[in-house]
Amino acid sequence: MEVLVPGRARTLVRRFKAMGSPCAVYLYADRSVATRAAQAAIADVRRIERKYSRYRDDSVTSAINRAGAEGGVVEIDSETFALLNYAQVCYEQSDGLFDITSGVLRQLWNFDSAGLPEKGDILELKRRIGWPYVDWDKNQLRFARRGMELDFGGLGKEYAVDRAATICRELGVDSGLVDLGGDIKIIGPHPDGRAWRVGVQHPRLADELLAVVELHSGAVASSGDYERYVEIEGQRYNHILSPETGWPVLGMRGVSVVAEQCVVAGSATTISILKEGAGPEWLEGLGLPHVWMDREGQVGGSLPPLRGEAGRPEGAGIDTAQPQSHLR
Amino acid sequence: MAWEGVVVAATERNRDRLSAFVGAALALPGVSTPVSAATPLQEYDFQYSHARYDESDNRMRVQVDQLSLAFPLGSRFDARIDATRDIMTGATPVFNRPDADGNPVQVITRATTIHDTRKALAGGLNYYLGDTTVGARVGTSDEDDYDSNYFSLNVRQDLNNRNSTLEAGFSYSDDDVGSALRSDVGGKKRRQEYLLGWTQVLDATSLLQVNLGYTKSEGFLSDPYKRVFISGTGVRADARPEDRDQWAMLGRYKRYLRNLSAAFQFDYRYSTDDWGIQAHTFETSLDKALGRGWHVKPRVRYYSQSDADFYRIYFNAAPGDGLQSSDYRLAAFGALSWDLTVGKSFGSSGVVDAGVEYYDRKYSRRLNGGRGASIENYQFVVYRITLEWKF
Repeated sequence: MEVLVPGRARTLVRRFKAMGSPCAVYLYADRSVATRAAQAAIADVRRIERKYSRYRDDSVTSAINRAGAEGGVVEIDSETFALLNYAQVCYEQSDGLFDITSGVLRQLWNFDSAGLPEKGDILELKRRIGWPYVDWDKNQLRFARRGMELDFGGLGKEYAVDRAATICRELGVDSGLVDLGGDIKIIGPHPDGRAWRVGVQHPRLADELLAVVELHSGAVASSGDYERYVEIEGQRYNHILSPETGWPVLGMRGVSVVAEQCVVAGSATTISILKEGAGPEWLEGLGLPHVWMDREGQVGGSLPPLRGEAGRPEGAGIDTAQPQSHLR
Repeated sequence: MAWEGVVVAATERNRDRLSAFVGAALALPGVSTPVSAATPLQEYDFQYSHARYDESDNRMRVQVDQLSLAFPLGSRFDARIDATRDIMTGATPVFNRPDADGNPVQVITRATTIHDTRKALAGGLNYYLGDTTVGARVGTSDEDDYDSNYFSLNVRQDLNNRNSTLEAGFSYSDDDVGSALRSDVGGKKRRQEYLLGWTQVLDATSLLQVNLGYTKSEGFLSDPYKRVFISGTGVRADARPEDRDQWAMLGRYKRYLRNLSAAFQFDYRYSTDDWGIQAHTFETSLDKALGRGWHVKPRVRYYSQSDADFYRIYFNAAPGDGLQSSDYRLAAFGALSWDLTVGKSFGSSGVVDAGVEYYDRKYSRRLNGGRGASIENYQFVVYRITLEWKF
């Protein structure tokens, strides 16, 4: 995913790193307004990162996971409740594939090192997966099985994108875009009313685009095996792990979904990857604009791919293209 | 046929699937602007309402027509314009006198039936910036015997991640009071009103609101149409103090009852002033969705006040301080009103509401003691219809 930014005056671009990804906000506004909005938006992204980080002892996720390890009840706030509520919908709508308890599998699947996990280890961990074993209400949460964990990683970034855009709008920015590692939400169209042109990364050709999405508003999220993957016996596996098999999924090469909210676009892309071969059908049923490339390299979806072969558009009015620096 | 059925069922299911995602996404704090902070209107909102007010015994009858238009003005502002016309006809009690046995008898202006038209115009502007909303409004109202000009300012600040809202308001009105019947009574009246409010979200479905208000009125606060009867002296003008300080407190609890698909509200209002009137209002309503765009809202209200220090049903002697009124609105009484609104929405752009309110005032219904009389009992009925269209 990349953003094609026309060179214009009064643009504030702030690049930063958060949630393991290169991020940026592009704001058209008076300098003081834009600066204040960028600071507030970035501060909120960092707040969400801290609050739901798996790696920080003082995070909500760590407190929840301690309750998983040691037993007991953990108090939750309204924001966490709303995220759990959202996770519930993802679980239901994906027939159990999108499960925020499946993060425990990461203990076995370290994508930086070679070697496959033992079958027995996978079976052991699969017993500690299962969203229905999480008891929660608006005040507290407990696990019905010992050793379970929650991972908000599949939701937090997209949620942060939506909030960052809202914050910018509330602080007086009507024109701009938020990009957290390729998950994008439009604050508002260019000052002259033009749509933002968002390039969708080609899953195999690093310098090329699969499609260009024109957006006046709304969000687009992408996922694919080009970001993080593991190759096992010549097969490229996605970094997304299936709670059913305990293995990385053999999902589509790449998917992008357009929705009003980034969190909806993001969970739709993740579920379609988890659905493996049934992903395109599931996306079509959802009815949101989307584009995909399957494992055979076939391209489909309701968004028009670039003419004929994939390529880089050098159309008029497009001034710069941000390099896809977060690709691995 | 079978084919179509399958297609329709599939489409319905997909729409449900997407709306499940979107519904949960909108419940996330800050994902959708309208959910998180006050924002300017996104569309034009046109409203027309018509109401008929009928007092018992063919006394006052008022017909109210109101048009209002609210609309966005750029991305930070919205505006609202209201135009109102009231047509008032009928008769109203003027004073009470004792009959041969000393029992009060009400004297009503049957001879000179009131016929007046009030026209009012008001306009306001709201400015939205993040958690702050600033509003200003000016208005003017004109009738044969009463002109009013006013303005108000209002600031709302969302706090604690928008779980709390602090609101402060000020309004000022400058009125010219006269009588269509006599040119020698009347005068100027000024009113300053201050409001401080706090709204606290208690949980996902309930909130609590507390408002404190102070109103200072100065000038000609008497009613030029009201008279008093003083035994041995005769009929004299209504004469009230030239200033009035009122304090009011409102407590409101609102709760959305998920399994009933209904919003429940309970209000208690207390007010007191330096004329000696203390009032309590208890009000409760339930706004229930019935499906297919229909909703119904029953409401019950009980109001009771004590009488003003200078109120008498009639006077046995002229009061030493010269303050005197027999206006039934300054007497002690209790009133119950029942209200029922039924409405239907058409998509997201149109709403039609129809309602009826029955009000029954009784001297015997007052909460505490106080002067007054059952001859001042009366009822009224209000019928109203409202059409709203957003585009």
